[in-house]
Amino acid sequence: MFNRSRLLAILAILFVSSGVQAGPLDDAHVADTGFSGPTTGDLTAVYWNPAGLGLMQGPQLMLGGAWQSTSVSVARASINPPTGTNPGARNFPTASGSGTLQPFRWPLGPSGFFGIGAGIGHRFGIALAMYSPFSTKLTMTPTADGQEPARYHLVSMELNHIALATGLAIHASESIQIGVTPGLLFPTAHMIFDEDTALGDATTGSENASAAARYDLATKGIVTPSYFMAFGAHYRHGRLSLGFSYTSAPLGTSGLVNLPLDNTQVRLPAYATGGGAGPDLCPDPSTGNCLAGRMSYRLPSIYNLGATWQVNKNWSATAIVRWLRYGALDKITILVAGPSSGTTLGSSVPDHVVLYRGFQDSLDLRGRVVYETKQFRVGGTLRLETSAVPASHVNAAAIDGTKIEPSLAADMRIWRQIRLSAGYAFTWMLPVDTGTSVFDPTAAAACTNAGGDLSTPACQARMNGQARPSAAGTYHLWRQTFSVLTTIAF
Amino acid sequence: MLLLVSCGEDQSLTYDLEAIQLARAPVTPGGTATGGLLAKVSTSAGIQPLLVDSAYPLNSLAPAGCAGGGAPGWTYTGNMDLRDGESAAAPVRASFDHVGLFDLCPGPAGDAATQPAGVMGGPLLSNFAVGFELPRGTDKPATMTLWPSFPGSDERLAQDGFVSLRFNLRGGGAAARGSGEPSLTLPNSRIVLAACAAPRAFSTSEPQEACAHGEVTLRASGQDLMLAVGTGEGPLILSQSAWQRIAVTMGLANDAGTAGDLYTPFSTAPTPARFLTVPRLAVFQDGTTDTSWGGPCAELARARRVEWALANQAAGACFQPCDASGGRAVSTHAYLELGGALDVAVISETSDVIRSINVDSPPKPQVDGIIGAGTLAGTRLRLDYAATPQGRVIAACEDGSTRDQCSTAPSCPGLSANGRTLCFGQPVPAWPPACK
Repeated sequence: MFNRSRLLAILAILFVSSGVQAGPLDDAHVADTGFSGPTTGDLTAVYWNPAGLGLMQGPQLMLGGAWQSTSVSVARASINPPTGTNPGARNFPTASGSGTLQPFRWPLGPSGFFGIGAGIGHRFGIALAMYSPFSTKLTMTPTADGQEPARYHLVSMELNHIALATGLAIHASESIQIGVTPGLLFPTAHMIFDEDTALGDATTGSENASAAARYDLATKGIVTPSYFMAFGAHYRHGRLSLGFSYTSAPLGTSGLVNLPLDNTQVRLPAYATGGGAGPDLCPDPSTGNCLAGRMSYRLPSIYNLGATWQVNKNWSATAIVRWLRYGALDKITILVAGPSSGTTLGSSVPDHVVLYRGFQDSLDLRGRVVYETKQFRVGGTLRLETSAVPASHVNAAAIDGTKIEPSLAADMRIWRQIRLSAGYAFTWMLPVDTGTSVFDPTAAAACTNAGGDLSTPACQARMNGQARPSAAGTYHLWRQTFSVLTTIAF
Repeated sequence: MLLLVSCGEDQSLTYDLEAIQLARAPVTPGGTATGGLLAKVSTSAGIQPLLVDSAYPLNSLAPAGCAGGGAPGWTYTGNMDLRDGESAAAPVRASFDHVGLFDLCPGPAGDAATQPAGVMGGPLLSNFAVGFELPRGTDKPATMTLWPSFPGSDERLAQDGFVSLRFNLRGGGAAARGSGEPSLTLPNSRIVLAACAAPRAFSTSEPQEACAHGEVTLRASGQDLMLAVGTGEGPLILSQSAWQRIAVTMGLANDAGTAGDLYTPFSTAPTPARFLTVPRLAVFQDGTTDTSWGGPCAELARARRVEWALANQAAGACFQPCDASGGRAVSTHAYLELGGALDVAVISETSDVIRSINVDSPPKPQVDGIIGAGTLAGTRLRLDYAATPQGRVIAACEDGSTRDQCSTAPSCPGLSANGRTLCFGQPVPAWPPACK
């Protein structure tokens, strides 16, 4: 008989658990940290490779989640106060930030996985799954003396994308399966950052806190989803299994995610009121938020390729390559509309902000060894991922570099058809020294002086969101992930 | 060969979300310069005016300017650089590259002296949410801002004093050319809205208007129209037949007004017109797909009765029976009311202007004319082509406007947000009963 206390222990683990994030948005370990991949024949195939659903036998249910804790530190280079350029007389203390992702909240959080499906008569596999392929969460902590060195790029952000997808696989032949996953992507966002309204004003000085307007932008409830498709193929011959899949960026919008920001507030610069904290643009919350915002950005498409070699009855080795097409992520565009009367929004503080991204494609390489018996299995994975953010583009809102991640996972049958797997991963990013930052605080004034001429480099920088305070400095990131996944095979 | 003139597949649109200054053509020959919107564009003959016209069905630019005329009818894929200023070093404010263009000189805008080198027409504008600031006077410049979309739901914008008027784009169709030449397909790019012309004056302090069940249409004042929004035209342009209906309402003769010439991009030759004024115009959504739609003048009269009842509920006012359903007032439709003496140009049914704005495939209800930029002076206008599921015109009145000049009335009572209801700019703490 199933031990009730064991069940409670499992549930307790599930409710404190979370996923591993890679790249600036990507969750590299959807479902678990140690066993899933393009050659896997279980419900996680909805994400990894829908063709893998064709390998399932009978009904299956999976429920799991991960607890992920990210820590960063930002040691900014000094700036010249009048211009904001590096280096200069003003130094910054090292800033630190952290973020924890976990799935149990509403709207549903990231790093969870729920799937239900079945393999039908060695002909079809069908499944429904909910997971979070893209997510990020980070809050920068003010320093002991109250400074916020990273404020013009990030105060806090949480971007989540919950996927609800159906997968279908068919046997094209005895050794080949093909599959497809159409899905909906439900985004939510909350982003806080400051805008330097005196950028390039030598009198006020760059990065003068009294000239900082704070933008607090958030979605409200569940917004209209984007849709995507994934396709995959799986081939098995003897001891070798190969899997290949492609997951699209959001379709119908050229890869763009468009988010209405119905919880939007802008805090005016302190100097507008002669000092102290600036007032909110909409001061009376009881009458409702008078601002409406909209944010748009792109998500990457992903190619997955995996190969598994069954060395013998117990041992197998797997290699996985993921190609993340971040190259299209050029910028985040934020638009804000306010009351029809009055001129504060659009004159004293901007009604649009462009945050430069300029990402590049990244490769996620993994080598995995798994030892398996009928009752349990254990695996070790070493993951290496190239940076999606060129060093000069790194800023507090987009910290990325080459990452190394060892992980361990174990899986055991705990009661008849129920298996429980758990994994731990530690991610370490090689420190990133940005060198000369792509962000140029002098570009705003230079563009104004050029009359907004888009043929000039300064105005192109402003248009692309690079006319912001410098982000030059050294960035560190490390992350721990603990995941738990329960599989019930009926 | 089928040629889509809206855009090339590899068109590139470069813009920076900042305002671009525009000049304005005269509303009528010799009139105030608050008419058709004019940007500046690069040509090989220098920087020349470019008409920004949401009612124009194509994009055109004569690469060498229009001093010697273009080569009418030829299409090409080219670039359009909008500039601030007229010197060769004038700043580039937006670039549209690899865009499908006609090498075509449009007609003069406003008067014979204002000759644009081309038109940034509906097919190009419809890639954006286009914001226009259209001051009532000439002391402040008009501006155009290109955004990818405009934020805010209709309800949220209503709380902020905007009205959202939904539309489905019209104007698509095949343009036949000479024998043996390729046919052209024009995309839907024209905004057409319903309007009530010359309704009676209204005040919440006037006596209550009675309206029994079934009398909604009977109580309407003014004339129902379907009008295109044309930022490149000056006055309110009306077909002769539309004017005849309005003339009856206003008690004027069919041939009232002063004879003159109307200059629009639709025709290189001036269009004979009669110029006069109407007192006010209420602009509504394109209501053709709305089952609760009673027509613009009936909807205006209903909205005014509901506003009157809300304004006078302290004195025991009630909703009229024709405006009530289940004991509550029915929802009114959002509208923008423009007032003052609005310049009108009445032109022939067979003129190029009226024929052009009625090109539709498949055919759609008759368009009676164009709401020009001069009519819209004193407003902040957003042509949000990108909104879904329908595009929307978002409008607000210029700061300092009086109700006689410009007013906005979002839908009532469909504005519940954060537990409160706004109608006609005022919170509604309680609802008056329906009259017995």
